[in-house]
Amino acid sequence: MKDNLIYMAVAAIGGIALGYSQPSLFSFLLLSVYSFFLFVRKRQLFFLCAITTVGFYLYMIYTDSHNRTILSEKMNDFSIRLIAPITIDGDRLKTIVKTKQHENVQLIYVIKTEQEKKQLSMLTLGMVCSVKGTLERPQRSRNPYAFDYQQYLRFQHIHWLLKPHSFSPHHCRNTPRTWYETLLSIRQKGLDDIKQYFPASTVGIVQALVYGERSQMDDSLLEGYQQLGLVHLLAISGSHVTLLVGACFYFLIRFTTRETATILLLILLPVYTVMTGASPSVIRASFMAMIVLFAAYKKIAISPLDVLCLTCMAMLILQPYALFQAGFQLSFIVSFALIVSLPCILQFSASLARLIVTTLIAQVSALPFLLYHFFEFSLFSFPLNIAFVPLYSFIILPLSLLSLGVHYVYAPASSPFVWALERVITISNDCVTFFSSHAPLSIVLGRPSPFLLVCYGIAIVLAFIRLENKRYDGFLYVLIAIFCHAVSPYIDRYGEVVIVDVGQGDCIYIELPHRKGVYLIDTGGMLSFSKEQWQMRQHEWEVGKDVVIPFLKGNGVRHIDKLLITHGDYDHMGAAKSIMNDVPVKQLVIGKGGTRNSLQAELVDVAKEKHIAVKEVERGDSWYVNDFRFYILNPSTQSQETDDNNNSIVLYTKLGGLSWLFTGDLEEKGEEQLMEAFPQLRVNVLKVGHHGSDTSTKEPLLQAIQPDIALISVGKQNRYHHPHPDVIKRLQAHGITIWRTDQNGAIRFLYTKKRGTFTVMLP
Amino acid sequence: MRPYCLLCHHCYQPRVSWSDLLTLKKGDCLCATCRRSFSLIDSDICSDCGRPLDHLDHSYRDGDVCNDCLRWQNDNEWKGVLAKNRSVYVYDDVMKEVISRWKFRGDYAIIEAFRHDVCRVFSHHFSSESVLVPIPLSRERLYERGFNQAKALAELLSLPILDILERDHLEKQSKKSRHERLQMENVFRLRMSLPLEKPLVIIDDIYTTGATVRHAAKRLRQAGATDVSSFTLARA
Repeated sequence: MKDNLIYMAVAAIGGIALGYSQPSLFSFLLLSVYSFFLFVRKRQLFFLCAITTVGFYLYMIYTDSHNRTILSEKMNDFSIRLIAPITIDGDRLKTIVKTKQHENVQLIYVIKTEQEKKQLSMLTLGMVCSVKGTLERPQRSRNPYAFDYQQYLRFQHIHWLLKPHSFSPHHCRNTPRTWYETLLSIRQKGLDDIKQYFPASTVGIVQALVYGERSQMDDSLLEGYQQLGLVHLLAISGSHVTLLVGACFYFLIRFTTRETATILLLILLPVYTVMTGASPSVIRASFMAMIVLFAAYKKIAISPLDVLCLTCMAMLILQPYALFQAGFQLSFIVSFALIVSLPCILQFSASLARLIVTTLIAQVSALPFLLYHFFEFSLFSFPLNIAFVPLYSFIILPLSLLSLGVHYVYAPASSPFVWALERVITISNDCVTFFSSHAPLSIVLGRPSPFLLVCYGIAIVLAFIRLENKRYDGFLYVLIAIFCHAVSPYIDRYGEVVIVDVGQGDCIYIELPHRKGVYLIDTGGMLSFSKEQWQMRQHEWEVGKDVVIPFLKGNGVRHIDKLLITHGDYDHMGAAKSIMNDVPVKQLVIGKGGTRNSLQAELVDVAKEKHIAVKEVERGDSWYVNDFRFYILNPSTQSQETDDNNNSIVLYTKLGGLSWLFTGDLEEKGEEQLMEAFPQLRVNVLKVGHHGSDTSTKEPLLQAIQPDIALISVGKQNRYHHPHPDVIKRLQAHGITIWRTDQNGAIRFLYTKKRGTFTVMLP
Repeated sequence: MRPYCLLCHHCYQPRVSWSDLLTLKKGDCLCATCRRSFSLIDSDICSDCGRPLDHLDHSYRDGDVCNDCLRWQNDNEWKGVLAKNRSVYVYDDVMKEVISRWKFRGDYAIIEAFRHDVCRVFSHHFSSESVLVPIPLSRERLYERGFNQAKALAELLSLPILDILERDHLEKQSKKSRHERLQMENVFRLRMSLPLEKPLVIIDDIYTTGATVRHAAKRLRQAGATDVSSFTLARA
């Protein structure tokens, strides 16, 4: 079976992917190409691989169809067992609990008082509590490219969010812990020790390197590591496990035989996996180490590639959903690329050359996966990795382990190590912060289509084959693939209009065909209420950072041509600042006299600081790109209107054969003035004013403009009770089709020159 | 089952590379250690005889031609007889041992170890239109050895082979000095006429002074060939 397991592992991956996705022409094509390849290259494996694919395919279908809940929404009383680490972040407590029915649910509790927070910190693993609360379905992704929480939990066989009305340790009792819970509580103790004894600047990194826990890391710092492609250093992976296993083995054989040492390590590795959070990369590395140790014990020769493939198949059997996790994909693809490129790396004799080639191979092989999940990559990633990989592997990691070890043996002796560690970590963190905030040189490409992913795959493999003959021209193919990816929106003859679901607020994305223009009307924005110190979370949810920017990046938007702010309400422009920080904006458009509003005035100042052109528009202004014309119908300087809402920018345009009216928060008075000025105005699609408030979208307007489709951008269960039932009634009376972001998530209109189609995220 | 190295006969762990996985390239039949012990000629070479120049003192060369070749060029009898020679490996101690095992001690299978490099270097230096002319053995020597090493090398290349040379049985080349070799009567005879328009490449195992291939080349030229060069496994 020498090095043939790879063909079976690929077959297994294909089986799982087929079992989960909808059958498509594309997957059929990939399957036939692979069958053809096997038929030519490894005919003797053809049937074995076919059986593997079918086996994994059926297994995936079986697993998925049995991944069902037995709980029901009507349940209110729960007896739950705390089986996972309990994280208290600000005023929110989160953990996974097991119900009496043996189904896991995600518990989320918003803590009411500081007193309660103190009490809740006494909760420990293994407790059984009785709580009253409600079950809610987790959110599906409401926007394109957004994180799908429902699917994320479903992959862990979790189907419900449990929201207790109240939660206190008084209703909990201790029960004997399982060995798994014991390990987790030791881990928790270890994390607490690090937090207590290590300097604040090192806590996050040491916890990540020793226990694989990143929750204590500063949000913006973690984002910096992520942005610069260095975040893999904070994950426990092959090099950690190799280092630890090597050190332990060396230590153990001083006292015992090699065989006993091997057996001891085989027992310790699963323990270590649990203790380090059991992320895909830890499981992979430990599993591989165990296979290697076992093979050495049994004196079986097994190649590294076969070890990797065995591990891959074993992990897919244990947890077939793992295939769809970014961590699993990145961990395996990089290990695979490095193992197969080993002969090529060894051609180079200088260690610096080897480091450079290794980094290059790791970076290039991870590229399509990074782009798929994170939509961008940094040009600094490659040089910084060359510096940071040795820094972490040879200095920070050993120092962290050493100072923690010494601390447990004799605490005072650890201080010089901790001091050195603090120095090094401070410098490296400063460096990361500097690059990520000043010049991340990020290239936003967006999520690649399946076709582009195949192009990347072919280009990368060709580059690696060429590299084996010490020829570097193959990397030109990779650059060509990146180039094709970068220009693909400009070739695309489809444009789109997306009402982004930003909750209560407006954010409308307009892209012209061939990307002749990218416009954003409003940004959404969520007012945050002032919180006390104890309520502050590590990561405060923010519309711009968490919804709009991922949407723009996923779409491969490298700049916005016009950012229109209809008026100065926070739910329309609250996220503008963070968007201008992350995505270059060419022009900021506000209504004439908009700077009277203090929020808009502030925004204009920010824009000027960033050298963004600011344009004030009024009725009569227009712009056009090719055949696409945009007319500003409001505000008008003649009306002497002072109300912000009625001074909203109103935009009229024709896209995909339909006429559109975007009305901002225009209310009754503004509507009247609009009809007065444009008595002939008729539209097909109306973006309903002011989120469907009863003060807007009055009967005369509907009679005058006669829309066919109404789009309402409104938050789920918002405090203003928008949209008003009367507005819905009025729209229905006219036979108008209604799409609402609170019910449908993002609304997307994909169009060519003549026609287009509406789709919604949540049908 | 793990493979055994053709040379050292130890079990070894072949390393998988991208081309092993995805192309039709065969795995190496040598272990990494033995493979590394072969020295390929891949740096500066003498433009005439393909000898590696990097360890050659400047007093023994003139530009990119070595003194040996200058001597051949200055000799009116031999000037321009051979267009060029190219070789695959440096004839060092390792290669000496490997070739003698292959050729004198009859370990024919070792030829597999040369296949990849021979094909690669040949296609790098010679046209795919070439016709191969292996240096023959005398009937007595062929009987003694069991195979013709030059013909075996030529067969690796999957190009037309023209076995038209014959030689008289004489003492082994390797027992003679340069001077003796040059003074020798031409031992080669042509068996039949030549396809004149194709480039001819004489194949031999070792190029030492170049006398053998030049004698053969001279015969071919006398028969009307215009483009004659040579290709050998090793270059002393």
